[in-house]
Amino acid sequence: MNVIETKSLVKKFGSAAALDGFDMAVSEGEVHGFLGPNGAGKSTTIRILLGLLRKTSGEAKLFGQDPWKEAVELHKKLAYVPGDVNFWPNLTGGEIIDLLGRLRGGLSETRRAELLKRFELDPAKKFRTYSKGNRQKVALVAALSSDVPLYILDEPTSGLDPLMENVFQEEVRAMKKQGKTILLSSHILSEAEALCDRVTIIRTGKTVSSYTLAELKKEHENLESLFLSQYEAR
Amino acid sequence: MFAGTKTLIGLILRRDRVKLPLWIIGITASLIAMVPVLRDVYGDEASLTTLYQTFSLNPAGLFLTGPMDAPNFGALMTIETILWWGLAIAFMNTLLVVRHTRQNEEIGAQELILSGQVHRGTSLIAVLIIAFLANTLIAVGIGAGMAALETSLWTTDQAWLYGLAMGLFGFAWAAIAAVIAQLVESARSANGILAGLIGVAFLLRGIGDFMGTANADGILQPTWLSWLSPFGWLQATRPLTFPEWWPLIVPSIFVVVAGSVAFFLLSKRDVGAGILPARKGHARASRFLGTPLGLTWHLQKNIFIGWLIGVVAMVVTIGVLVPEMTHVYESSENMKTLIAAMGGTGAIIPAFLSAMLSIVVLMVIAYTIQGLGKLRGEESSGHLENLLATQLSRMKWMGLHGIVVTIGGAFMLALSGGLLALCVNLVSDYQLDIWEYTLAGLSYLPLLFVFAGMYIVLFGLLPRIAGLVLWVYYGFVAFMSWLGPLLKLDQQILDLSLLTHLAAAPGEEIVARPLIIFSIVAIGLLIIGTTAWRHRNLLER
Repeated sequence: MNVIETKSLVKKFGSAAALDGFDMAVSEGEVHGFLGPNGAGKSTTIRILLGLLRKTSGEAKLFGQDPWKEAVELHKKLAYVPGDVNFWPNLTGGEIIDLLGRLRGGLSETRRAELLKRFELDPAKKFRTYSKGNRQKVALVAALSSDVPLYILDEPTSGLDPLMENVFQEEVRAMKKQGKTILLSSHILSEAEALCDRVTIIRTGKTVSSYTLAELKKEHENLESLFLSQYEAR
Repeated sequence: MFAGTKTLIGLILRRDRVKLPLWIIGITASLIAMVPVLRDVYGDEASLTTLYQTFSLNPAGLFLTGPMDAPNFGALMTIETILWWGLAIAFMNTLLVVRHTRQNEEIGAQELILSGQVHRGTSLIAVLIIAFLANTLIAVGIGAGMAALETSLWTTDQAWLYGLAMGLFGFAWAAIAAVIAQLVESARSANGILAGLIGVAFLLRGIGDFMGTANADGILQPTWLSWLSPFGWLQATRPLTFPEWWPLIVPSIFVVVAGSVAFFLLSKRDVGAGILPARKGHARASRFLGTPLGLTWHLQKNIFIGWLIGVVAMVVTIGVLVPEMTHVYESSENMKTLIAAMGGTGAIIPAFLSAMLSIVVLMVIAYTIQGLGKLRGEESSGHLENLLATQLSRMKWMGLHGIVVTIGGAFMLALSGGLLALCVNLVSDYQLDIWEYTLAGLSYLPLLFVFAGMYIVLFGLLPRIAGLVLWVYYGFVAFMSWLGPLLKLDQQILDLSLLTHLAAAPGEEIVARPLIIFSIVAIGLLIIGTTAWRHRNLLER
C-alpha cells in the first residue's frame, strides 16, 4: 500500500501555480527522498499532505485518506519536522518536546531521554536562546520521540554539524529497520543518497523523475550528477 | 570609539521612523491639548477652589496625582498631567533604549554590526544620542507650546521649566534603561524589569507625598522617600506653581552617574551575555502545559494579567476619586453638561459611574481584541503549523483561545462593576448595591461577544489585516463614546458605534432587547468566521 500518494496534484495561489500536476508515491516502509531546488513546491506538497493547505485539484492521499478532511485522525499516525523551525520563544526545548509529543498522542519516555542524549541537547534552555543547530535538534527530538508509522521531515538536518548529521542518519536507519515510512525532503544529496530507497525530484511544481536508488546507480555516477543533469538539460 | 556612530544613528532613525515621531508628537500634543480642555471644564474660580479643598483632604488623590499646591490653574494642570505624562515619557525612553541595545544583541543583529568597524559601545552611544534628541524635542514642544498657548496662567519661564523638567526626567529613564540592558540576556526581561522599576518609582513618590507635611505656607513637602524616585525629582520643580530650578541638578547628575555605570558594565561583559546569569528553565513540561488548554493559557496569560492590572487600577482610581469629585461636579454646570453628554443621566453618582464604567468596558474590549489577536500571531509566526500537524484540530485550537479570552473578559467586566461599587462604599457614605454593579458590568458581555465575532470573521476571511481593521473600528467606537456627543454629530453616525445601542448601566435600566440582538449577531458572526477558517489555507507571514 502507498502511504503517500499524489496524482496530478495542483495547488494555485491566486493565478500562480505552486504545484502543477505533481505525482508522487511513497510505499510503506521506505525512506523516500524528496528533492528539488528552492521554490519547486516541496514544502507546499508537505503542507497539503498535513492538511494545512487545500489542494486546488488532483489527488492527495495519506494512508488512503484525504489529508484535508481527515486531518486530525491522520495526524495520529505521523510526526513532522517543519522546514522553518519556529517554536514559542519563552518555552524551553524540553517543554516544547513534551507539548508536541502529548498533542500527538503521547511520546516514549525512553526514546525522549535517549534522543536528548544522542543529540546532546540541553532541554532546560528557553527556545529563543538556542543556536540554529540546537533549534533544529528540538524539532528532531520532538518528532522522533513519537512512535508513529510515518515521519515527514522537511530539511531536517539544516544547521546540524557533521557529528549530529551522523546521529541523524543512524536514527533514520534504525527507524527504517522497524518498518517506519519516512518522507525526507532535503538539499543534501549525499544524505539522500545514503538513506533513501527511492527519490522523487520536483521542478516548478511538476515531477521530473522518480527513481529507485538501484536504477539510479546504473545510469548515473551518483545522485548529484543525476540532480544536476535534470536541471542543466532544460 | 566613535567610528560608525553616524551610521548607527541612521539605522535607529530608519527603524523608528514612524514609532518615535508618534511617541513624541503624541505625548507633546496631548499634553498641550489638555490646557484648553481643563480650562473649559474646571477653569472658573469656584471649581478650582472646590478642587483644591477636595484634593488637600484626599489621600488617594494625593497618591495618584501628587499634591495640588494652590487653588489656581497651574496647580490643576500639574496634578492632571505631570505624573501621567511622565509615565508615558518614561516608557518611551526605556522601550527605545532596550530596542536598540539588548534586543539587537538578542536577535543576533549586534554580532553583524560589531563585525564591522564599530566599537562595542557605539550602539549605546547612538541610542543615547537619539534619546537625548527625542527628550529635547519633547522639552521644547511642551515648553514652547505651553508658553505660546497661555500667557495669563503661567510665565514663559514656568512653561520652559516644565518642558525641561519633563525632558530631563525622560533622559534619566533612558540612562536607567542603559544600565538594565546590560544586566539580563533578553529584551523581554529587560523591559519587564524596567516596567517594574517605573512602577516602584511611581509608588515611592506616592508614599512620599502621602506621608508629607505642609510647611508654613501650606505647601505640601513630601518626605525623603520621594527623592529616591525620578518622579519625585520631576515634582520637586513645581513648574506651574512655585517654580524651582535647582531640582534639575539631581537628574543631571544621575544621568552622568548611571550612564557611566552602563558603559562600565558594557566594557566588562561578553556581547550577548548579561551581567546576571541566565536562569535555567524547566526540562519538562508541566502536566497542564502539555495540554491544548495549558498551552492556550500559557500564551494568553500575560495579555490577561496585564489588562487585569490595568482594569483594576482604573476601577480603583475611579472608585476612590468619584465620590470626592462629586463635590466639584455638583457646583459646576460645565461638568454636568459633560457627564450628561457622555451618557450619564439621573442621579449624580450612578450617572458618573456609568460614564466611567463605559471607559473600563472599552479597556476590556481592547483586551478581547488583543487576546484574540494571538490567533493570527500564532499563525503568522509559524507556531500554529507545528500544532496543526498533531491531533489538535483547527476548531479546537480556535475554540480554546476564544473560550479563554471570553471568560477572561467576562471576569473583568463582572469584577470592574463590583469593585467599583465596593470602592465607592469604602471611601464614602454611599451604599451602592455591589451585585447591581456587577450585573451592570456583565450587561456589556454581548458587546464583547460581537467584537469577538467580528475578529473571528476577519480572521477567517481577511487574516492578514484582521487586527488592523478591528483596531481601527475600535478606535472609532472609543472616540465616539468619548467625544461623539460633544461634537454634536448626526445620530446615524453615532449609531455606527455599537456602544450607543446599550443602556448606560447602572445609571440607566438594563434593556434586554439590544443585548439579545447583539448575542444573535455574535452567533451569526461566529458561524461565518469559523466556516471560513475551516475552509481556508494556513497563511504564514
